[in-house]
Amino acid sequence: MAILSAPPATRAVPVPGPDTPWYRRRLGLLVGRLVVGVAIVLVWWLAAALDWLPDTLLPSPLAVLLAFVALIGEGAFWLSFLRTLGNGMAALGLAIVVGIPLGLVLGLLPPVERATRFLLDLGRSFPVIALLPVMILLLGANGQMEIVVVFLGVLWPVLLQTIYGSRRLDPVVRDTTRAYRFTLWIRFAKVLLPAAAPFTMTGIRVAGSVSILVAMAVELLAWTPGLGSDLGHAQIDERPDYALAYLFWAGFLGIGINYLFQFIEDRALIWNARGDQGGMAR
Amino acid sequence: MKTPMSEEEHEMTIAEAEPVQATRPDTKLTVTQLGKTYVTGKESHEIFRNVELTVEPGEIVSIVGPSGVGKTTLLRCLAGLLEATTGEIWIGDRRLAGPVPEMGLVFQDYSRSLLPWMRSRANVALPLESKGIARAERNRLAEESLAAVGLEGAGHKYPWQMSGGMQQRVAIARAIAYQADILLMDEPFASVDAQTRFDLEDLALDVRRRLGVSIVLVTHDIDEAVYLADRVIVLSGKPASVVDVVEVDLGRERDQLSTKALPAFAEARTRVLRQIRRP
Amino acid sequence: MNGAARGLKSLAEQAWLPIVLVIVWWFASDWWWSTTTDSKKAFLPPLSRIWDAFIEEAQSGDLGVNFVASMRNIALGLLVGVVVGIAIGTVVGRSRAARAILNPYLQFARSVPQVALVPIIIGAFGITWVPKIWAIAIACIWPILLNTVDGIRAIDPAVRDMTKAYRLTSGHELFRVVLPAALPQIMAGIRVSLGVAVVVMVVSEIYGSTEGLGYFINYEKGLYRGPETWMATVLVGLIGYGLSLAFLVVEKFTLRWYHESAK
Repeated sequence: MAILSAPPATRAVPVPGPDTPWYRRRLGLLVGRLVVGVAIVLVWWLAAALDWLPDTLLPSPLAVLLAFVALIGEGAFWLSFLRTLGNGMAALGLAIVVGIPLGLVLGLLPPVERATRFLLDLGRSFPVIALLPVMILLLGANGQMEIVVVFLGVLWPVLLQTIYGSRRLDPVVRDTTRAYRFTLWIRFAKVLLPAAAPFTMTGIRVAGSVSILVAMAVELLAWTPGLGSDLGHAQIDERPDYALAYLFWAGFLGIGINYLFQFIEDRALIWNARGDQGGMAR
Repeated sequence: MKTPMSEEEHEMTIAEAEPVQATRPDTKLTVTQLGKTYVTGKESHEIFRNVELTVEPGEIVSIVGPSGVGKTTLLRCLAGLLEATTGEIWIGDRRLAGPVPEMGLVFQDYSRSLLPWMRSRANVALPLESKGIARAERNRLAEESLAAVGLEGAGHKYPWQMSGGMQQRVAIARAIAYQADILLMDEPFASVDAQTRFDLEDLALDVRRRLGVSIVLVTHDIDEAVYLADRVIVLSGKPASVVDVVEVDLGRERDQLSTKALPAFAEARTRVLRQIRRP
Repeated sequence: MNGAARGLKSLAEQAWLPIVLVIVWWFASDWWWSTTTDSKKAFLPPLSRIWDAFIEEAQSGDLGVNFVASMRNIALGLLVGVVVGIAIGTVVGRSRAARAILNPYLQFARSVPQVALVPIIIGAFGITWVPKIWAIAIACIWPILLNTVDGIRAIDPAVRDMTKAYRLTSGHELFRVVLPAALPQIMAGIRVSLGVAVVVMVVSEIYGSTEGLGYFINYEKGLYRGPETWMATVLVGLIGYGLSLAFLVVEKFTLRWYHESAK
């Protein structure tokens, strides 16, 4: 049972062979995608020029492109970019440190897992952004508060996936390790961790994407520095071209994070398959 | 030992054969010079060539051959699911260009072609909905077909509540309810246990006897091919072609015990086997 | 132990800890609150006060109005998202060419943080409730669309053969065969979009609104009223949980055949 439907790993197009139809061969695919891309831009340009939608929603594609490129040269933009990314990753790190051990333990002890199930379900379905107002009351509107909120949001994928993974530990393996009286540490590191590793990695990958989402949402609503508040400012300052540019940048950030974590996930599993220590990177 | 007959001799023998209970006119299946070649990029694979066969109304014809020879491809061409590269398929006096109402298909993997969200009666009645038949009539036909395959009263069950043999019966019932005159079966009994297989083989004979349908049966089981068929078509070679057509002279009334003990059975069987194993 | 008893036992195993925690929270928070001198204590009200705030706001009707507004927004937004998502997903899913060509665009669209659309849409269309529905709908579409595409693509070729061989009409094939076959995947997509919808609903109501639970939370925070803010936050959390629970029940019912046949 999938805990969260993760953004699917964006894999490369299958290598074309003699059997493949035109839209799968590398050139045909590229051409097809280019045509679609051009069509989208054309419709967009038309919509902007003919004012089908208000200007504040849909500025001309050229304006957005210019803003998008202009941002590359702005130091302030990269500062915001790194802020958002940094906050997200910091919170993710915390979630890993807390979530993995907790998940392994909970997975190992079924009665505990059953007792906490309601809380876990509640936490998973809780829209963490709703906590923002109380967090602002308690911690103020700053970067630390942002990290706390993001942490509360990304803890669940990591935790739940780790629980799921450690629950799936083959009982035969578990009994064997117990029968041979492996020390607790070895059982933990060499048996439990590798078994749960694939699931945990999936959870981390999902959490990676979610971290950026929540970080931006916090910045948007609490005006803490970052891409989200930049977007909000652009919208208030009546610069929809910049607002959309930020949107696209956020999209690329999201895709980039997804690719990065997918890459890490694949690598980690290779090491895992080779039998290295508990699937941990050397 | 009979030798493959020419068209005229064949026509004469049919006239002398025992009359079938219910014959459906104009449903003679005629296949001439059928060939299929897959073209992928610069390579082409010829699967089979020059296949000729006829199936008179009410006949059962088996197609046997080694694994991978192209029997399923041939059947799919006959069903209209695949376009043949050369040759023609005629039903009566109409040329086949795609799936037709006269043909019902029974697949090997019944569990994958029966829809799990529908009860078996609904599964059987599904093609009839597309034909525009009213609900009461659909249900009646479905119930009758289920009864004809020995599943009377099981219409309310879901496919996953039934055994493999029962599911395959549902698939056959679906083809019958469709009012098909010709049943095309692709290794239909391969996925069930031996005992169930014998029951299903007898069911096929029963269906032919009562409803007068013709059956084209693809199988790798030579015993089954000989037991059921009036004629066995042997496909072999690469590219495949018809290497032999074996007339099976065992009469219309058959049963698992006595028929298989007849010398004619063993003869036909040996001949087919020899053709298949010829390098 | 028969079925009913086993069910009760399972319920007890899962319920005891939350119940104990709530009781502990109630008394511990009361004790802490009356003894502590922490300056922030106004913003960490005891459970008893949160409960009182709930009763008060519920009776005055304020809570009810905003609750209904939020429910309306999310229901309509989800409805639009589901219908459009399935419709487009079906069209794309049926065509292998469309799937291959559109994939990068779809992946990009789903990677955009959907909350970022809120200021743009609200900025353009205002703070009334209709723009919020568009924001929620646009955010919901992607998981549903992509899952519909996946679900349709994964349909067994044997099923396709069957619909071709028996000459099923297109409409027939779509509604009786294709969509039910893809339903498990589609439901998974709806489950994800449910979470997204709740988030976008809250964000849109905090960002720019005159009604709704998100607005209510923010409003109370603006008045520095701890108990009310907490109360509304907890309520939103429970709603999120309730919706996902309700969906689980719906899923179990509609996908009964799927779960049973997989056994």
